[in-house]
Amino acid sequence: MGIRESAMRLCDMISLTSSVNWNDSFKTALSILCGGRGHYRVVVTDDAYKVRGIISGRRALEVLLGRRGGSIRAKKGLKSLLKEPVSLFLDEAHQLFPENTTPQTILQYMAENALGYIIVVDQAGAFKGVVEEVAILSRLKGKVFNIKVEDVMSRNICAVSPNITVLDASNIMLDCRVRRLPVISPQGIIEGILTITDVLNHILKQEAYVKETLQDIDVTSALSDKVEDVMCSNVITVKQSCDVGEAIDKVLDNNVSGLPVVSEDGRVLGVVSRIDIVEKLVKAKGASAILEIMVK
Amino acid sequence: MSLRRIEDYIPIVGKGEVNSILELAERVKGAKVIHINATAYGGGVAEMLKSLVPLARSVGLNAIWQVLKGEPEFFNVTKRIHNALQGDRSANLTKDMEETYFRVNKLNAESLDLYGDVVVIHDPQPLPLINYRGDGAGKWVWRCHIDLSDPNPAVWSFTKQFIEKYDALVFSLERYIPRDLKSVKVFIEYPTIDPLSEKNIPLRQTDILKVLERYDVDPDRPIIGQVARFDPWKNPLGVIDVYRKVKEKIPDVQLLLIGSFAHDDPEGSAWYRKTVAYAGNDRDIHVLTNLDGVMDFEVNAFQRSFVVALQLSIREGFGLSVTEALWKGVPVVATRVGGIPLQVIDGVTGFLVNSLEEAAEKTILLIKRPWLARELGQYGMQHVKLNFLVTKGLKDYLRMHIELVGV
Repeated sequence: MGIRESAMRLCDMISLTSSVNWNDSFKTALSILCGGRGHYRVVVTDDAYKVRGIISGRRALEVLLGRRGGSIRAKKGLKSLLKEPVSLFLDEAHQLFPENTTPQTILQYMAENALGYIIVVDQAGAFKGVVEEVAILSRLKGKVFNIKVEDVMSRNICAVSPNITVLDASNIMLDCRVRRLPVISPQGIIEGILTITDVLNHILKQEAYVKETLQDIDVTSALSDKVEDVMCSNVITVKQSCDVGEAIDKVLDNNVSGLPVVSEDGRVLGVVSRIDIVEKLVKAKGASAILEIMVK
Repeated sequence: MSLRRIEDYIPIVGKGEVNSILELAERVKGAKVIHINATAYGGGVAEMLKSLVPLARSVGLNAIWQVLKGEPEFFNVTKRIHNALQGDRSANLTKDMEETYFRVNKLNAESLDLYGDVVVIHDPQPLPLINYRGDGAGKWVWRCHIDLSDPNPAVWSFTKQFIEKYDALVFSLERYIPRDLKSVKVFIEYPTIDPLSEKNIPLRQTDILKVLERYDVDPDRPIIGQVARFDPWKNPLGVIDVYRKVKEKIPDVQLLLIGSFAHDDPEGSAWYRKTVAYAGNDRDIHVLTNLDGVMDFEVNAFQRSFVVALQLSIREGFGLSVTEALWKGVPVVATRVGGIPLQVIDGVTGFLVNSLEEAAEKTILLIKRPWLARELGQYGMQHVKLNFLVTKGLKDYLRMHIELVGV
């Protein structure tokens, strides 16, 4: 339903992302988020496949660090907490759209509210799929927009030094409500990037830590490593003067959710995320113009 | 408060949704939850509590709602704090004001029940009650319903001393969280509306007509309106400006400005008088309040009579009046502030505007094209049904309690 039509169909933008049943354990959701397949969020459905909410990487990290699930953890321990149903930890889904919504409506809504995804449901409320910012960007690959990266990037950045612990960096990510932290030297030169997904993978990748997690040992000990040992050192960056199209290509080619924006001498000036790009492009060009570019 | 059962919502949201609520509620059954806010009526907070508290009781929580008592001087101070936290740089506090704020909260602490498993304090007025939390008392939560993303620094620093003592904070939107709050447990709970409340239940056409007749509003001529407190942030004078521009093109249009005088809003009567004076002698402008007998039922009837609902706020928390209008199938013309863009999808459930001229233009468009208004209204209703009904709010609320005291 909607007023304006476009050549792009909603089904062309939907991806069938992973979902879990709301009675599945929290650990099941965690294993999807840490599975190395690049999932940052998992949709939670009930037995009738109706959408009940979303579990994000951030929520998973909050639970592992004891910033969520506090009462249950105190009474039953972490091992039991991980076996609790995922329905206790999810975020309610407040961005559900019926499947007859136009692509323009979806694009406009995501840009207006700086949202990274919306969930599509059928008339009975059953889960049909997710429209994510990456699906939109994948149709904008190889294009030039005549908009500079500096016009879409966030200048207000949280960054960390390479020698703090992963635990401290994780808490900074949660406090600043960001998914990624540029790791910089005292001179402000980019040395790496640490994401929530990196941290989750680091916890679960190492078998010893998994055992410890399940044996009720404080997971924070697993995060005592230094950021420099866990971060991605091969940082993909973009220059502020580049066209947004170049940033889109780099995001897609390297399957990353955002890029540090650096000066000629490697100093970090900002961060540009997939959401930033979709939001600013739609605001600058209009949703219908972006849809036209997407179908070309 | 009305007695409502969660099962009553099955026809609207389905059995699965209600079962999911009951499963969550099982984990916090019997928990004593005390809500404290500053007014029993008027504004979105009282509106939410009116539904949420009976619903929480119906699923097994021992939920209680208490209202802060205070003299006008106190509410002048708290309104100043409210404005400052929403960004008013000129609204600073004197030592006397701070003293009034502390004194009234101390007095209230002596008479209010503060011993719950969870104590939920709403908005800044009762914030200092945390200082009177007893030993072994339950978890304390501050539920902030306003936008704290760009507060007056001095007043923010004053209120932060209380906020940091709470066990958890709840905001309506993620972007409302101040950047300098660290290591605090934060929940995001979108405001929601109750489809079975007197303000939102379906009405018969005859009931709507009776209300219009009682207030001398002509049902055969187009009606536009805004439901909001009389408050500079809600821009009632701007709404009148828009109406005047619309009237130039559609001479028989009528405007309803509906608000209520809440206990905690001392600016309300001054802004009401200002609005009435600005309306002048135009008999097609109706400025109505609870003092005229306009209660929930009447607001419901008026909203259902609108061709277009306006919400031209300068700042907004979430904008529950927008949710209410959309739920009634009425398209909304609104400014791009607060939670409004989550509800008003431009060209789909209404129009988002950047100026009063644009608001007038879109309002005229919708009045002249009833088929378009109907289509936007229908989509708006569906959008609210999928995303902003109280059953979702109740689940968020139960999860927060499970997090704090559940098993």
